[in-house]
Amino acid sequence: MSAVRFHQVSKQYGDTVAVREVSFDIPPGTLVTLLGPSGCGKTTTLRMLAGLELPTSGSILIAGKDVTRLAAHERDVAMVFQSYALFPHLRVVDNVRYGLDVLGRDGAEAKAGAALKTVGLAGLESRWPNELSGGQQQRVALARALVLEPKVLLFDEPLSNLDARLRRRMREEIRELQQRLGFTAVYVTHDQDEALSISDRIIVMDKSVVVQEGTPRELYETPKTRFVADFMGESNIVEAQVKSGRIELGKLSLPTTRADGPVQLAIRPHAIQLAPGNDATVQRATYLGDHLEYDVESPLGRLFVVSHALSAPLKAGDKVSVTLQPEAGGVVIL
Amino acid sequence: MWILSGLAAFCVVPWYAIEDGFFSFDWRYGFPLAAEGAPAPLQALFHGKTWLLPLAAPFVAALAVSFRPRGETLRARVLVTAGLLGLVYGLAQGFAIGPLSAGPHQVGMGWGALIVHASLLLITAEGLSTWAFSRPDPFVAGALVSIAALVLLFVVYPMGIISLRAFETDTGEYSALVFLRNFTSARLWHVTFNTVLLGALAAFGSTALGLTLALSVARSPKKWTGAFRLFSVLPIITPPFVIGMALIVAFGRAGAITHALHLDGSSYIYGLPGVLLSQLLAFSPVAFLVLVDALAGISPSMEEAAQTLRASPWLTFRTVTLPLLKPALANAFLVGFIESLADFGNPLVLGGSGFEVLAVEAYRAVTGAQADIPRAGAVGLVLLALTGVVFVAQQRFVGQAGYTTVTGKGDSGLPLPLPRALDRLTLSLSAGWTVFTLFIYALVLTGGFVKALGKDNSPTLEHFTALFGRGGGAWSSLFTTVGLSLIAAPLTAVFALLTAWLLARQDFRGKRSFEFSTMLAFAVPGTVVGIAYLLAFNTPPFDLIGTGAVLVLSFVFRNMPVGIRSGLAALSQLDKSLDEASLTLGASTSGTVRRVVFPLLKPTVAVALVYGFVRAMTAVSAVIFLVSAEHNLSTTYILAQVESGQYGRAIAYSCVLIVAMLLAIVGVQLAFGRRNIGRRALA
Repeated sequence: MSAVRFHQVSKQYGDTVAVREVSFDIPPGTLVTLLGPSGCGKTTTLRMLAGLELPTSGSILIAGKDVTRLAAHERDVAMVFQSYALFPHLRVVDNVRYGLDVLGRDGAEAKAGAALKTVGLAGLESRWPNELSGGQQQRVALARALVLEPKVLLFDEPLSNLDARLRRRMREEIRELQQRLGFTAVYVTHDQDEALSISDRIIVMDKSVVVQEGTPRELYETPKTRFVADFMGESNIVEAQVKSGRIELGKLSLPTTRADGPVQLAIRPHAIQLAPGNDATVQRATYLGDHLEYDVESPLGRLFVVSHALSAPLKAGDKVSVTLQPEAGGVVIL
Repeated sequence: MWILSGLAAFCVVPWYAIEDGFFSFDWRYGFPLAAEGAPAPLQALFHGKTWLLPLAAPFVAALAVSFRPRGETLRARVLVTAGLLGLVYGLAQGFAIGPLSAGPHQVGMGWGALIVHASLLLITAEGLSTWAFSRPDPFVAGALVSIAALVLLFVVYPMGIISLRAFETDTGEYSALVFLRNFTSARLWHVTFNTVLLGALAAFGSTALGLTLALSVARSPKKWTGAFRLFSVLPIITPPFVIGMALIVAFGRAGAITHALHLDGSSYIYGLPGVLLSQLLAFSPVAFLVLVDALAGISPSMEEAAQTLRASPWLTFRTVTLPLLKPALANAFLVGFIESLADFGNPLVLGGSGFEVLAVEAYRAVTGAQADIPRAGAVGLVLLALTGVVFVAQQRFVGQAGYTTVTGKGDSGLPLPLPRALDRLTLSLSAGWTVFTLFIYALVLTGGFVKALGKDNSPTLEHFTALFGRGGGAWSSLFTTVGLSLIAAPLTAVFALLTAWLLARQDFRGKRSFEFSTMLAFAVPGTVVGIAYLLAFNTPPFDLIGTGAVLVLSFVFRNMPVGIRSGLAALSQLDKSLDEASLTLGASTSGTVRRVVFPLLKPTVAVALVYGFVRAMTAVSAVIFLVSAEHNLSTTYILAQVESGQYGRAIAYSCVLIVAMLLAIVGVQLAFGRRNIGRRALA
């Protein structure tokens, strides 16, 4: 039985459709990410799961139970908010035990202490939220949600208020915690790195609909649409022709089952190799410490290239030749 | 639950209002059989009031479906239908069978009727919550329906009545001719002209003075400008006509200044100049408060941006700061104009016979020799129309543009100091005005402790002993005022903040009109509210005139809008995800309001409480129509002293009032303290 099931769920505000006929299943014990650009409907989807918004149509099941018309507090979920939403008038421990107190559960003090220990904040029980750093506040928010042992834990862009370094550490911690405790989690983000690194599965949304669903690897290596290819890491989109079962593109020749005619290819920036030559020109070169980025004007069009050949940097104006390496999702037929 | 409480009230609690007043419990003597104190079924059995019996039906119907699962459509429909039908029938019988009806008759509704109708309302809400609302939440539905019903009954209904009565002829029929006769009278137009002129001048003047003071406080580097802030609170706790009275004591025919200038007998202060001066003294602090907040809200980086774009300080002020203040200026003007329209005390005291305004005119129409209710109604309608015009004009002018938003982001820029010339100008003007205000207040204070200010300056306590000594008549009005204000203040705060929360956090159909009707009582001058209440609630089924309840109600619904506004402002700074976090953690909506929203709104609760209390203590324009011998209020008592020329006593009593209000403010501050945690933690 799925931990979460969305069936044909739509949400309309007046004439605008925020979410259109979204369906998916989330197996228990997995971390699933809703990924997409801002305004794609991912947060609305999460909020409908939390019970903070009610769907216009469709049904939502949590652990097999229809919760579509239930209010937020009647559902067995807990949510970690982007702004953490710690209650500023309550101390850390009282924030964590809030849910237990509301529900009248026993042993709130001990459970809250244990939850704080789980997230590595033992000893900070009597602090006020504004005495904590951003990362610590995030952990309190996590502990507050964990302590209820909900069927599903929801994360609404939980790391977007943290700096880059802390963001990386926190996402590893969340993933590690999820694997250790085995809870089901639904995670909303617009950051594809974050999605790739923590998810069991990713659901990509765009313009109110689900465009593709799969493991991180499937989405990266076999995107079905130009949007997914572009959103899951950068891609160069190139037009090509299919002739009798092969795609011919410069020196590259790929087998395909497509019928003859025009086709689009997505080429990853790291799948392009530059060598001295004279069929293309470097337009712009950027040094980024561990790698180099180039804009190259080539017969295939303008290409964005990532190179790790730090010892042989190119500069703007250099003449080069372009080679494609099709393995490991480097070149994808859309 | 509502079903049982309603049914219980129907069967046990006396249905009709008791003669001795709404809060009287004397009915137990005749209970349960006497005609006075009997509940509905016994009224029907023994006193022939059989038309009350059908009111049991909706409760029975509701009870029949109440055990079905929540969320079921049938249950919801039955609840809504039963509740609504019950309400309609209840009100219809109340209106149809009055005290003077031929055949059966009845008096106004009492506790029993009140609880029965409230229960019917909540039954309807319970049904609606699963049927018509997007979110099945009985708490939200209940709160919304209750507040909407109260606003309908105590704001919209009286306004409707006053409009209707403006058309009533001597014989009780309705005719447009009556209205036309009153409406086209030259006198009315003359008075209207006076009112508009005074309103425009007072609004313009108080806005200009408020801006001057605000600029001094917010932008001048001088430390002592903080003192302006302090004094700006004074007029808010001053009964409205006290300033007018002080002006008379100083500048009147026998005033201290007049005497010193050897102008005895001259009446230069009466009429437009005096009224205007008193209104400027009273309203410019309000404009100041509006503008100083707006000035503080302008992000310094905008002014810094202008300066880096080569604008001089003067040019920056003219092209950036002032335009950004435009909405606040328009707001200050609107408030000044409406306050001036509604001001009753100052024109009454200072206007003399030569300068009449609408508020006073309405009062004279009601209290004059032949109580001319249609005329009062017409005057009320003109006031209402004027308010509406200014309101619409302000909306047009400002539109939806609110420029001054405080974001959570730290803004490290420094506010631009004023251009030097402007700085000097505002500082000297502010200082001059402050000194003048302090002088007036000093005058008020000393006036209470000397025999007759200006004429006989020997210190005395005789005014106080005349009021509060043996045989002094002021105690009862003071107790009544403080008591009713203490009842009104928490009610005002709770209603206002609940309404603000509904507006800020919930989505429902008709939100705009709901918001508008809650604001109506604020925009309507107090005089109109007073007349409207007098007309709407002096006959059954709502027979409230002469009770303390009607005074409390007028306080609550007059003062609620300001509480709503401050509640909305506070809520907009409170991250919505705090509510949502509480909901996802298992707290119900009412639990969330109780555990999270109200604790975080503590400072706003304190403000709403203080405001509700102070405004109730100093109210005069509305209550002058509603007081009775039994429930006389301090302000009307003082006004009576003023009208009989007892300035010393009036001033002495005003001092007592001011002290009482200061005590209350300090008390609320102590009780609520400060919110122990800053909002910054969330950023």
